[in-house]
Amino acid sequence: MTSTLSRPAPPPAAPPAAPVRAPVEPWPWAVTGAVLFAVLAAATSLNGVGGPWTWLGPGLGTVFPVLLAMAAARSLRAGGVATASVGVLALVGMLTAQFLGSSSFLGVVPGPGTVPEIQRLLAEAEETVVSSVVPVLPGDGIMLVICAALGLIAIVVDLFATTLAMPAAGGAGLLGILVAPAIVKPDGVGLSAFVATALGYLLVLALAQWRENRRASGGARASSGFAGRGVIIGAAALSATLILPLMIPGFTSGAFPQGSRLNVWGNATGLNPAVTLGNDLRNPTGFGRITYSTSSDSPLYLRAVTLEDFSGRRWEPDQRLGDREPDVAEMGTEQGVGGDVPGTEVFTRVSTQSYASPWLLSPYAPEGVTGLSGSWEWDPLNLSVLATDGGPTPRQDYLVRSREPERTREGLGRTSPAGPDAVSAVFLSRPEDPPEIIRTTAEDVAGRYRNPYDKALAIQNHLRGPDFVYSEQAPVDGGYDGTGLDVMAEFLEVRSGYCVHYAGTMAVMARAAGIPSRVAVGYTPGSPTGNTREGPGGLELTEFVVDSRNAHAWPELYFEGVGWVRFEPTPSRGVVPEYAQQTFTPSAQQRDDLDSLDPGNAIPGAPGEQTPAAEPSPSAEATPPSGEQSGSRALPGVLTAAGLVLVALIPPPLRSARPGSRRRAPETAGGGPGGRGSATTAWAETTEIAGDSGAPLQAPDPPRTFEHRLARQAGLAEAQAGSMARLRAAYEYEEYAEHTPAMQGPGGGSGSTAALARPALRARWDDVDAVRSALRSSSSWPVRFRARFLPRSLVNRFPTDSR
Amino acid sequence: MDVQHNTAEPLQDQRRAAADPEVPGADFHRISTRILDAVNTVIDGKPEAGRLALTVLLAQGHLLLEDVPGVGKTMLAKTLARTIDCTVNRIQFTPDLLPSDVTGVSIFNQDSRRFEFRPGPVFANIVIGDEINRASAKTQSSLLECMEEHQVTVDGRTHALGEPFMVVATQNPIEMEGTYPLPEAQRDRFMARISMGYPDARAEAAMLETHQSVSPLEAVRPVASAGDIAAMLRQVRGVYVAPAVKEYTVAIGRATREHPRLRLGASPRSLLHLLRAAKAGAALEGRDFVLPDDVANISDAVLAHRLLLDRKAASAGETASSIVQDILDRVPVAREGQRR
Repeated sequence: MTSTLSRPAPPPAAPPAAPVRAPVEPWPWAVTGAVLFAVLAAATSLNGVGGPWTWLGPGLGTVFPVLLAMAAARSLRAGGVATASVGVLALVGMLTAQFLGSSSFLGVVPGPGTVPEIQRLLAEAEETVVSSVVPVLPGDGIMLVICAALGLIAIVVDLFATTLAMPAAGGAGLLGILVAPAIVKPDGVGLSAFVATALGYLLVLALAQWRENRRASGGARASSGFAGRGVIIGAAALSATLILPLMIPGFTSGAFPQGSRLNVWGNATGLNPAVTLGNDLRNPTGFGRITYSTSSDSPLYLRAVTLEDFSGRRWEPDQRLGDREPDVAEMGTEQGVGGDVPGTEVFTRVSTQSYASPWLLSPYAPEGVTGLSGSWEWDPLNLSVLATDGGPTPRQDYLVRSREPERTREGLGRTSPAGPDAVSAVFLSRPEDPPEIIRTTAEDVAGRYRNPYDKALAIQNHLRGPDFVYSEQAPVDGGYDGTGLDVMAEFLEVRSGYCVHYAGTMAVMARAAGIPSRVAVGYTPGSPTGNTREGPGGLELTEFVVDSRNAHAWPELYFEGVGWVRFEPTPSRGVVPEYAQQTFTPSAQQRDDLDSLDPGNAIPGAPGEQTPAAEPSPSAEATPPSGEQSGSRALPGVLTAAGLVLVALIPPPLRSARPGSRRRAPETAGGGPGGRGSATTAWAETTEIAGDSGAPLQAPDPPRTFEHRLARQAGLAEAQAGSMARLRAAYEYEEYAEHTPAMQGPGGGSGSTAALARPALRARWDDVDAVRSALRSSSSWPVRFRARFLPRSLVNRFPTDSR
Repeated sequence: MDVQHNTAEPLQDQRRAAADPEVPGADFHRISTRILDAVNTVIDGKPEAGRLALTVLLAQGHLLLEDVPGVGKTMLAKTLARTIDCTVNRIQFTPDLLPSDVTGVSIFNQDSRRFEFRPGPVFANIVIGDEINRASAKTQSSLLECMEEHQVTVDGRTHALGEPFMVVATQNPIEMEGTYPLPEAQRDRFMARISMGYPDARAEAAMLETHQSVSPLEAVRPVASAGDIAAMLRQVRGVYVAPAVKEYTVAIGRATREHPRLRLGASPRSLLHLLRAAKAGAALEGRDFVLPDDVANISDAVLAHRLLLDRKAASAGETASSIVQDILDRVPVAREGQRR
């Protein structure tokens, strides 16, 4: 260095250009990293769909290599199509490696056995989707679907963000990840996942914008940019999500109880009626009206299907399609039940009307069904009747001949534990590692009894005890709605749920106690219509009506020598059979007396049954002042207040963020050819400030007219009027003067046009600040308040940039 | 050039020296300021009128001064003419004035035995047509051909007029008997119309004081040469008009045509005049680009005399000026930022 070099060395940010190869740009990698973050952030919404974080390993193992491959391809100057192809290939490879390794070449190339394997996994995924309430078990099938979706969305978002330079559009992909959890999760996406997704999206936008700024020569363009727009869109969406439930009554209760949660599987009971049973119960307007007339003089439960398969750690109907018998007119007896069961023959005529289900409703135990249209089969294992094609079959009018078994307390009391081969093993199977609480509760409740009937009664009465509260909403709110084993465990913990939980839990505990069990799904007796119909042989049949509000689930337990016996563990629902009524304790007796009303008495209050609080149920009354209820009363108020505060807090940072981004705009009045420089931005800011202070720029206002009006209205002092005039002059120059490459800046130029003087024009943010403080001090406090919390400029923006 | 320097007075040398051709921008400002100062010494309390007149001169238009007698119409025209070192002729229009009295005639020269053209008073840089509505339609139209074409055709021969060329016509809107009001087509030839209006009390008192002994008009000396004016005209022509300003001008024109209370809106020529006047106005403000304000400020002067109100608006006491203001209050200002 010589002493003549007094100027400091140039900053390293400006290296001498033109090496042989262009330097590697870090920005595409950064954007891709942001995409990875955003996709994973959106995927956190999957936490309630499967087990917590079960998606992380496979998801990361899919998305990361895919994005890495795409970024690498891009750094090798691959084109857009090539990059996308690389991404897809990487996705196929990673999915093969993770899920289809056994049938592939080299672990990553799909082989001939891959297709059937995929079909098997997809079938498994479909079954999981159809038969489960979230959270589902993270099986391979569902994981394959999740990983494939995440990978594809990552490819799409990355293409939008980098190749197509439309990062904002990539938000749709992220939204796609949120859709599934929003539909299936009882509590929607969840705030944390939403915020994480929004942060990821903003990160993508921000990095993409910085990349664009880097690319633009000299960064001459002032732009509020992707990030600013993203913030506004995000804030609007957040406000909507917060405000909507607060503003629309019944969004979380009433006629649309699931809020944004869609019931995509419809009202048909489908393969697993228990999945939708809760929704039916929560719907205050009964639908799917069914009438039946029966010769029975005791209340009839209409049974559609039984859930006995617990191999998947949740109650499911057994898919034994091959074992079904075709002749439903003369059905045989059930397996494990003797040929001549004592009991009374009952005729029941059922009109299903609009009710559509592949399962036929019949009282237990059916012996023959006539008058059916279509083809039907019955299952000798549980006497359920199923349409052969499995499709829903509305508008059936049929006659069921059934036998109502005679059960007596004494007869049941004489039963001994069922032998291992008495019934199919499916009725006893249970997971090897049930949750601790199920095992211990079963042990505590039933362990001291030896007789299976006593055990069953103990379990039933435990569940009907004062500790348990009937609630159709609590499982939804608590996220344990469904028939899974974990749900049962949670139910025992929380002690609040509805029939599916009571029945499922009793069936599980019965199995834990060695009693074969299954869960029947159908309808409680309903209410009499007052009409009678004529049955076979001139028999007078009393007509009843049921609808979705009578949907019910109950356990059936098997006792050797007796057969399948219905219990009613659900408080305030249905009718406790005489043989199952409790005689042990006075309090229990009282409860049971109330519950064992005959249908004629119990059902007139059927609509009221939806709300446990309205039910004169001692179990509900005995519950200590429920935190849930008082909390739920206070909750809307708290939420409203929180929502309002949040909404009020959104505009100020948005409003104050804008001048920040504007000030960072390059300070080049006039910019380049066609460039929008700082003067326009400063003027835009000034007009918006004025608008917020109640003196908006009108469309027919030329700048000077506006300036004079503002000065008059706000009584600007001379200094501030000077600031205003400088801002206006700079803006006029930038907006309306000629900017050709030959005329770079004030005073320059050529030809006769330049002969006229040009004012020295440079917008100064000091002037903006001066005008702002003058306007603030001259406006009244309501105007100031509005300018701060509901600024007009949030919607009425001065269009500084028309890109 | 067939121009008569009949009122020429020599310019002073030091003023010529000050007109440095290297810095014409500064010169433009200085000369225009001097002209306006000179006009204002004669016409008390009406600076806008003088400014508008100069604007029209620089925009190469013609000016119609319309007002009651005795408010200084002719005085304004004369003062403006005298500040410029150029030829000025005045024509007093009367009903018996013939077209040849304006344009000139061909006279047979006995000596040369051929017809020679003797230019009429229209051959001057500034022509003052006093009480133009008193002349017959035929004579009016002969003047108007000169205004539009900047040339005179006599006996099949065309004679060009000099530059600058400006007609300042006055007419009296009150005394209508025995007059021939200008038809719309001819009013459209005038770039702008100015109504002088009465001066305020202070200005009127000052006027009585200054005009008592000697006419201040006599004291006015030319402050710009015809060459200066020609150079200024070139500069005005070079003033930049952004596309957004053109859009704004067009929007104003369309608004007049669609206005429910107007029978006749602004012609395309009037929009041309409007933009040219706006350019001159911008140049007078020292800018080389036109602002929407320039257009808006001059709209009334340029457009109002061409608009015809429908009967209802006229009977309701509305004026063309109030409708122009109404249009300006409604037409949005176009911006370059919106166009890009």
